[in-house]
Amino acid sequence: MGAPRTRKVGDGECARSQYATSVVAADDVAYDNTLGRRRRVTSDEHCRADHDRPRHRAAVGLHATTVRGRRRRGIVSGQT
Amino acid sequence: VNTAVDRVSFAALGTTAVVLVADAGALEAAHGACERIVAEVDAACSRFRDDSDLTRVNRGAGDWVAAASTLLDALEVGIDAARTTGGLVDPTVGGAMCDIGYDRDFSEIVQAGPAVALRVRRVPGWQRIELDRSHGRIRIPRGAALDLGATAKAWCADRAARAAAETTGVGVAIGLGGDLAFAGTAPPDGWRVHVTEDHRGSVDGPSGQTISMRGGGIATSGTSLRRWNRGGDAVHHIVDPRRGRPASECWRFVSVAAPSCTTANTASTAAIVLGLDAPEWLAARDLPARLVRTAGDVVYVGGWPSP
Repeated sequence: MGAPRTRKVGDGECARSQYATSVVAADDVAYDNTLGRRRRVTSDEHCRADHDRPRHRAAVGLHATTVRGRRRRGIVSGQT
Repeated sequence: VNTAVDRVSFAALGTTAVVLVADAGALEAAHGACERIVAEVDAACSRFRDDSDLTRVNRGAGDWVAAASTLLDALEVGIDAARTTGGLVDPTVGGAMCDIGYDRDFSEIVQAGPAVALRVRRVPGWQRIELDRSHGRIRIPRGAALDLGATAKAWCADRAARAAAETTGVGVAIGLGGDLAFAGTAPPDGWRVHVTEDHRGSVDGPSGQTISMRGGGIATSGTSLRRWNRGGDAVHHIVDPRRGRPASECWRFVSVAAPSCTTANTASTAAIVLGLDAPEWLAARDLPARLVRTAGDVVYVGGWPSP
């Protein structure tokens, strides 16, 4: 099947969540964010390439709510 | 170093690093783990350190240059970002960055200088980078220069968050100049994230939006802060690799949430480069995003919560 390709695979990630153009095939060699090294992608992850949107959103962990109310401590995302 | 019960901040990578932990007792260990990763990435990937691996590769353009695993990994991430965005971000923009005056740490850039002759030309291109992992070496085309600004800081945040969570066993949030990564078990109500124009802003600031994250990462890229003047013309720091000069200014800033901070920052940078086509591009990739136009109105895509 040619030389192994390399891509990043995140914790709990489905392949589509990276970019639709880089869906992996089982047994590709991939860079695993969680392990910090490359590893072989499993067939399970290959299956997850055919994911649905709700699953992806769950992986992202972005709540579908805006936080309101009294001041709360947190962290800022903005331009450097 | 400024410390509070569950947070510490320190200078890093030419900006500020912030470490938050879900259990205050884990702060010191999380801080140490984060500092180690940041120091490693800075030594390998800084374009402004004379002794970094990346500087040596740029200086040796045209020849094979030995590089340690950190730069090899970081460059692989940068190449992957270029591939997956179709070249909207590209690690070979280093030369174009220097052409527009971003040739030193941002704090040292002369804010108003003479006009520069900007040529519209595609950057050398990520496809021409040669990365030989088995021999630990890199070769870039003669005359080319690498810049990992679109990925290295976010990748560092991902790695630091993961290392700190593994070391402490508690939930950790890492911020590197506004690029945020989360690892471990989040607090019961999630990590409170205030998304705004400047990462130095207050978490209670009047502008922007506060959301909640449980994992992954979030990044904000924009054209309104890192800018300077050359010959009376405003210049900003996000280069369009297709033209080798600053991207057209359609958005003041774009925030993206993703499974990792690296993916988020890759996408937020690509969105700035894409301009008007960015909302459709982000939505097609299921990436929740908040885009603020130069006029100030806000566009939400991909499931980003409305205010």
